[in-house]
Amino acid sequence: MTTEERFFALYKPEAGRLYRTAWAILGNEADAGDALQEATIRGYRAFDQLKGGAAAFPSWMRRILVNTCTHILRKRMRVIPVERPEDLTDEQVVTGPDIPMDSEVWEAVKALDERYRAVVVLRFLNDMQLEDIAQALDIPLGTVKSRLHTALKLLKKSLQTEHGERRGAV
Amino acid sequence: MQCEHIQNELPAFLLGDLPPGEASAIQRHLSTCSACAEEASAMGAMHDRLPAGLKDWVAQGVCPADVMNRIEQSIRGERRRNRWTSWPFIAGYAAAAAAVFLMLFGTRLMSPEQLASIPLVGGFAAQLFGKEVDLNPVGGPPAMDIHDGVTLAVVKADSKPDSLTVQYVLRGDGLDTQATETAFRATLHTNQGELALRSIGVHRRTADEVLVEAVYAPLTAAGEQSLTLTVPTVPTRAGAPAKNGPWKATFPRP
Repeated sequence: MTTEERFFALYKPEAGRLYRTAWAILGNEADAGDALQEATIRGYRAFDQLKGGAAAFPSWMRRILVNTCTHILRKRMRVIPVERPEDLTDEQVVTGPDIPMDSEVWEAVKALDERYRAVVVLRFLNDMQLEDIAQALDIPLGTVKSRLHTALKLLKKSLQTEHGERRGAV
Repeated sequence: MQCEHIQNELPAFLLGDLPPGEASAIQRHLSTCSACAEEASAMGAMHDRLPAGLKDWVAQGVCPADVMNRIEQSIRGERRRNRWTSWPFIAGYAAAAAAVFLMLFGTRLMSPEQLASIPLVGGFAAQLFGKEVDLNPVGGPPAMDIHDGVTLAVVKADSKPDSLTVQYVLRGDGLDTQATETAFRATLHTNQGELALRSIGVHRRTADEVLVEAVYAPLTAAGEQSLTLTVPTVPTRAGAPAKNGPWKATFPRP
């Protein structure tokens, strides 16, 4: 079995989850595809450094992908102005009427401003510590906390709204 | 403590990310402030709901065919690039070109830039070592040994009155290039016997290659015309098959 075959034997079963992880962090599918391609090339080049065998591959590949995505976010966030209290408005709340139940949380997270979405996804999908998120996004820890707090308030409101609408529609 | 500050710290509090003193202070505040307690309860519900919701969504993911095609094409491109620069390929290429190379350039040490300018051999040599290299340290055929997926190549030999320094590269899939220096030790023999190893260091480590510098006792007897560097074993990564040494490279007295 060639290196390429061994790599893809481990990679392909994970590809869907990796794709959505990148999508969750970056917020759109076009960037997710690019980030996944870049991360996969990095993973392939470093494949012989994988320790722990096949069982370690999914988390190893996900780490490479998350690093690639946060690198892209850091570059993007440099041009985003400092957050202001007035950013916290109802306009960021999603109220899609035909959202299937299994993607309800994602649809609410996706609708968040990038600054909030990134910390939510890194924390709750990738289980990163707040300090690690601060380091990955190159922002102060206090900013991570305040963004997470704001994001949770928005999500609470958004998910309650969806529930209310759904109940009303039945 | 202000409610605003408390509520800002609630995510970290709920994640257990706060120092014990601060967490206790927040706990005390929550027992007396109904507004903050209500906020903490709502936040706690989100903390429970978000991970499962996001992870379920991710678990149902499918990578679009066009993205997967793009990825497979780029990996095929990597494979072609690797084949062109892979060590066995280069070693064979080097053997074919060595005669021309040696005839033209003798035993001079060259910078990577100088190496890169040499037809046929230069490009790969500069790329491989990225430093001063002499594929044939003292003249004669390249001092190399390739078997069982491991390549040994002597890239430099420098004889001084008080020591003999040899630099050699070990390369191969599955090589544990992060192993301690002594795992890459080599004995050095002349036709008069073994030269004592005095020190060893690894100058460069990549995923599958190490550049080792070993310092031996000096050459003394005039009859020591030929030297043989022997690497008895090499370390391999966990799960990789063991490599069967030894690897031997013979070169003339520097």
